[in-house]
Amino acid sequence: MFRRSHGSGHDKALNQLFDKYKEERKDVIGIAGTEQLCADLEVDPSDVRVLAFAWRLGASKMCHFTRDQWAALRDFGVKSVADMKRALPKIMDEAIADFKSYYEFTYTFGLDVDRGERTLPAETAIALWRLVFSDPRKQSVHLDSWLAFLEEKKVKGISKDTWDLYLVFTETIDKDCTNYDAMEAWPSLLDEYVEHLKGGESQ
Amino acid sequence: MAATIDIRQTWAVLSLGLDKILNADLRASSNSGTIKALEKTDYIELYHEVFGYCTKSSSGSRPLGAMQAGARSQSADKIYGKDIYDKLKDFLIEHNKKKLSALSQLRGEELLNTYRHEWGLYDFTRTIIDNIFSYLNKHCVPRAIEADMPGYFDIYTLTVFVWREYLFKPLHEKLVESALEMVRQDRNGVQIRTSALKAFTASLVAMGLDDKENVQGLVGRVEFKPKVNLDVYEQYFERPYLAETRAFYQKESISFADAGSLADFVKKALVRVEEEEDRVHQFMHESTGIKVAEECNKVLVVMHQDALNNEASVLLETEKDEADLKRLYTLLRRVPETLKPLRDQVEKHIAQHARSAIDACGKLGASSEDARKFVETLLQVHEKYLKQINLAFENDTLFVEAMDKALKDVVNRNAVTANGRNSTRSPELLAKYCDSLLKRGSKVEGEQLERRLAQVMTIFNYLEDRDVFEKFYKKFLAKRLVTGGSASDDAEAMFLSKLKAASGHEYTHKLQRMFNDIGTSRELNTKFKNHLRVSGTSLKVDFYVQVLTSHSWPFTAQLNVTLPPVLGRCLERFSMFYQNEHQGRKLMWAYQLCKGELLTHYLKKPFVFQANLIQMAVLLLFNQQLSMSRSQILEATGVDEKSLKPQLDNLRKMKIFKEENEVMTLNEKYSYKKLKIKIDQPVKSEQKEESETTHKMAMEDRKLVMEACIVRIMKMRKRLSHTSLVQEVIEQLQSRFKPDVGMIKKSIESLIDKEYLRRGQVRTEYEYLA
Repeated sequence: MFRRSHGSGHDKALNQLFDKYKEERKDVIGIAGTEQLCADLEVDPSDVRVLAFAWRLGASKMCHFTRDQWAALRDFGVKSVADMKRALPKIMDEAIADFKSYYEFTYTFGLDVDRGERTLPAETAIALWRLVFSDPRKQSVHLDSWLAFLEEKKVKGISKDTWDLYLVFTETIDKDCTNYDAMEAWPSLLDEYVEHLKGGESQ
Repeated sequence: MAATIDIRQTWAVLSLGLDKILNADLRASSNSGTIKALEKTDYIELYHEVFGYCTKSSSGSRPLGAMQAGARSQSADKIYGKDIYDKLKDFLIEHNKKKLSALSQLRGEELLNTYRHEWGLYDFTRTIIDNIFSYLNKHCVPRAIEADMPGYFDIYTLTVFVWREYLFKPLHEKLVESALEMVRQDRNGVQIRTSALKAFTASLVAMGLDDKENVQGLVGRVEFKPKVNLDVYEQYFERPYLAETRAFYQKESISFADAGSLADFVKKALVRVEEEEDRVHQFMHESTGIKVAEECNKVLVVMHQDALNNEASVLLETEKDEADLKRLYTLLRRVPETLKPLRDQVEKHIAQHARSAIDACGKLGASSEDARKFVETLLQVHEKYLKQINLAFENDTLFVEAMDKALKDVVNRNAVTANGRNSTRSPELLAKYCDSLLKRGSKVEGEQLERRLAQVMTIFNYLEDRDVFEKFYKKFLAKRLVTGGSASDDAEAMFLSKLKAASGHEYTHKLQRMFNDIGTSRELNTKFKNHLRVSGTSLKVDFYVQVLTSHSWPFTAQLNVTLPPVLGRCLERFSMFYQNEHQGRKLMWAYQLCKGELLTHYLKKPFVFQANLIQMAVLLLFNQQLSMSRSQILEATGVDEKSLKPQLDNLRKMKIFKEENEVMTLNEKYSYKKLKIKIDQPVKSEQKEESETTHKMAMEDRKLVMEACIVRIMKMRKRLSHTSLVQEVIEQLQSRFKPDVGMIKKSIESLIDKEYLRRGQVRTEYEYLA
């Protein structure tokens, strides 16, 4: 069976690369394939570069790449594993440059859609937050205390709204939250966080 | 050429007359108003003298009208009668100077009395002189004014002008000091005669000449009415009087506040304030009243307001009789701003008192006795302070509002509600109290019931969580209606209309539907009985069904029971009948509410057991056999174990059954002192659970109501800022409950999550997603 994209020699090499990792029965790269891919690229599957890679390909969930998504690697002239290795830092640069898109993608990416998840469990959210803010070029001053707060309060799930607004929060509110105004329609979890932070100070 | 008339001759006649007038003794004057020393004819003669002199000195042949017209262009020295005017003025000045030198010898009250006498005499003659020289008023004076000659007034004004400039001004310091000295004596309790003071201030008012207005008055119209202003009065008397007043009370109030009790100070201050009012009435111009009051307020109220408010808190705390408090209020009310701290104290005091009254009730549960304690305690507090506000504060709305605010706070936040960390326990207790008043067996009846229900509304009006009240009220009402437990239909209807008046049609809509259902059910059962009779069917049992609209009642079909055949048949017949009557409606059976009576044939006496449906299902099984195991019963009745177990335990406890190894045997030796026995006893754990369920339901409903409200607002507005949305939600919902801002926020987030809303481009705005 031939696909239209098999046409050029370039695409052929890319498709062959896809075929190397794809599942036997389905035309998609699954868990095993992703693990193999990571091994070949010499990165840990939980590395931030894998997250950026998935974002650049537009993966809809973890450990799942379709042939169409894979085609995005054409932009980097990928023909071999070595090409891919070289592409990784560039992809990371793009992610940092287009951080909002990359950040908001991370939430949806983290959802276990197969189990019908609509809200990210706090545990996953915390791991993803650490990951997405791990690049030295994009840090969040609130990250440690925010995540500590979530753990202490035993928060169960993080809504998409809270996830998205956290980025706005960390980009606009100073470390001590002196410029935070609870009347400004922040998600209530952030209200609680700020209250917790300020309450802690006064004690 | 007109004959020249000698001014000297004319003036000799006039000055003689004036001498007589001015030196006449008022005491000799008759009631007719003329002066004895001068006969009427003399008086007319004097007028003619002036008239004759003026007309002849101009032109005897020219008619008056022509002369008037020509007069407009006359220069100053051609103003006829000017020489008479000047002579008159000189004469008056001389007269006043003479009087001044006599008055200058006097001081104190004597001075004032003589001044009064002289002023009276002079004032009386002013009109007469004005009349004699009225020809000057009409011709000479207007022309002089028109020619811009200073010092020309109508004669009436001239007289007082001369008095002011030549008698009063040189003497004013002495006069005012004497007047103030008399006032000082008056304030210190020495009796004074105020008539001299009254005449003095009246003369000052008369001396206030509005010169400019007079000019216009004269030019504009010949008819002249003297106009006065208060300049002289204010400058020479009022100003020093006010300063004197301030100084006097400043001194007095400080020494008094230091020495005596504050309550006495208040009493004294009130007396003083009243005295000052009287003083104004007695001998001052009325316009001084408000100014004196202001001075008094400054030094008697504002200066002492902190001390007065401290005193108020002592009075509130010690709860002595209201008279002191009332006086304090009366004093403070003079300066409305000073009432504010008192109002705040009253609010705080009432809140404190109400809270400790509730604390004193001890731990309050959800029983009707606890509900009674809770509500009646609040009512007592309300009654107490309503009375106090009436007696001490004359029902001042400021204080009524303070009480309302305090009680509203306490009703919604107190020891009882603190347990549940929210305010919803108060409405539960209030609803329970209503239930105990309205249900059968309540000892409160008639007018007393009416009064109690009206009082309930007092508390109801303070409630924030009216939705919770509605839930509980509905629950209790449902029970009363279904079990026929209402004491009186009238009382039910009356209270419902009160609720409607307080919270609107929508609030009581479902409650009203419940009453309607009961009525409809009554008719339906009659129909059903007729139907059975007509079709010749007998059910062999007395059977009554209540058909209730499912959304209006807090009941669901939550219990499963395999019905005993005799009852199953009844249900079947009724269902058929009902489907025939109302096609397409679905009947669901709330078995947990079913009650019935069973007649025993196996015992010595024919006992009647008043039982619930589970008990009936269980007992009727024993028509077939005398003993059954628990598991057999479970299977045969089809009731879940959790519901069945307490009923079986109860039957055993009541000795209707004997139990051995989980096997129930009918106790054939059962006996009881009464023939009718209510074996359907409430299960305690159920009651508590029910209350919690109702609370939970209320909170669930509240979430739904809130989300619906947000969606409704957003659907209409499409785009709205966070703050406006929150505000609108609060506005729309506060008649049902007090929406918590945090909760509104969570609802908004939940709606964002459900994709009813999204955040706008501006982060603080929301957009509606259709």
